[in-house]
Amino acid sequence: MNNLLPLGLGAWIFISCYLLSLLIIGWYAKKSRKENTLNDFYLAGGGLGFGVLFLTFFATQYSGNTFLGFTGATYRIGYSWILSLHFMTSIVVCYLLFAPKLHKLSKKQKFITPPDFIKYRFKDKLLTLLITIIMLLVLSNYLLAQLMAMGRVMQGITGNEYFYSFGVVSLAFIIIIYGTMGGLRAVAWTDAIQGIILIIGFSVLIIILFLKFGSLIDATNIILEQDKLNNTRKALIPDAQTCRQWLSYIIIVGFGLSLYPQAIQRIYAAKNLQTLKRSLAIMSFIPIPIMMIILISGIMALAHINGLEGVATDQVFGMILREIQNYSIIGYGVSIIILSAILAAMMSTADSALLSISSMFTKDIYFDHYDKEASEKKLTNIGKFCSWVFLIVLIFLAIILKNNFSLVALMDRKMDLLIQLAPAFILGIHYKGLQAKPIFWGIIIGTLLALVLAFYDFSFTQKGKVYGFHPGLIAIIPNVFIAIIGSYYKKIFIKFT
Amino acid sequence: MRIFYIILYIIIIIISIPWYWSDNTNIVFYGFPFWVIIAILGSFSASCLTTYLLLKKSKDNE
Repeated sequence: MNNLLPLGLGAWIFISCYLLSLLIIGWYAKKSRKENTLNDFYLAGGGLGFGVLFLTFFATQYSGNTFLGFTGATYRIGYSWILSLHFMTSIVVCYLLFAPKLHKLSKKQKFITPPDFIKYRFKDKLLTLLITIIMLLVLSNYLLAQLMAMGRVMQGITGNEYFYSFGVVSLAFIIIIYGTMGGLRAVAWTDAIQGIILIIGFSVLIIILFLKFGSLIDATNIILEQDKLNNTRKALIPDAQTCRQWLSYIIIVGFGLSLYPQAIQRIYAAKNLQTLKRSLAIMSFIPIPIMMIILISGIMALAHINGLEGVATDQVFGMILREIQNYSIIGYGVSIIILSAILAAMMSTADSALLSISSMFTKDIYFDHYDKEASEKKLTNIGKFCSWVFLIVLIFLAIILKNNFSLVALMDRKMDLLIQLAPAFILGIHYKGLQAKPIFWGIIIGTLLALVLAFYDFSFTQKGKVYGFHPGLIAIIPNVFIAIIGSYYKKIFIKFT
Repeated sequence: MRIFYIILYIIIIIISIPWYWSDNTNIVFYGFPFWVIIAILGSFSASCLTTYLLLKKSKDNE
């Protein structure tokens, strides 16, 4: 995002008004609170209606990386990145496997956090703690990446390196203020505003793209010519390795992203089962317009903006915005809406992650292990305090790690880790015979194997993948095997003894 | 019936991933390579099936 023209006063007023509206919503959400309980703070009293639930699912699932990173990915690998359409659709298909049943159970058992289900289902402290720690690690890294991305956007908008830290601190404080004022109610309402800005911004983007760069047929023909000259496959049929990677993405993102703690909490927060199902039904169609716009943006850039390679391809969205800014006064206006939409996408992802971290730390670590007698009011206050502490630590890390990408690169491993939790949640909800200990050892073995395959350079691994398959997907095989076979033999053993 | 729907999803994935196309196919349809159109239609079919299962099928089960 370092390629933008400097923004005028009008643009800054627009962005400031948007940020101010988030604080007002936070204040209004605080006024709308019905009681000082964990359920009211972290799940909005379990009363999210269809519109808000759908928009909060949407804003949480599509982060800033979806727009910046995916356009860069299209620029690098061409039309094959249409695989992103499939993996975003597969998330909703995976919800189908467990969300309706989990929602009904959550209403009956009053779940607040994802590990609450594990506690109820397996009644095993060690397994619950392991799952809580994995979820906290994944979310903290994810939140850190969002904070760093927010800083880079602010740096890109102002054209000044020093505004990176200003961006991280100011936007993070806005998030924490409205988040601690209104809890999930504030987060979901702001997500709704952010979701609407995203939809408007990207609908207008596609029109401007065609006006500026011409038809898609021309772009595709240019890329086909480039394929012939450079011996690449950016518009041609992908090779076997890419097809294997395609299948791997569908499975790992589907299971991994559907198990995001913040997504599970939205399943709990739905007003009723019908509301949840209707929201998910709309969500299943959302990847088509969004991923198509991202794909077309990347394809237009690939055909008309030359010379980007490697890490620089992630700058391609900023370059498209600059082209649009230069195009006309309307283009300038559109680029402001899109910038706000990207900030919105990052903030909505960050606020949900922060709220989830705070809820799991309060309920599954503090309450379960340190203070069983704590009142709901005390726990809510501890949750708010913990949000502040977590965020301040992460702001500090985001500033000192400004130019260190290796930590954020770990984020690529989040799917490999999250999918290891699938047997506990998805098998756990359907298969009554599943036992805690085999699940525990399955997760341990699966996680270790996924990390070893990802970071150790074996002869059969390439760029952290095994013949195009994600290490997490290979590791889930022994994980599921241990969980099922272990549970079966444990059951027989208990029967005989 | 559950197995039937799982098989349907598997068929959609098998058709949508362009592993079976000949290497040099470069038919362009409405600006997209034809294999991309098939991938988009595959995704659309999966969305329709998911919506059906969410709204119609599970309502019957309840």
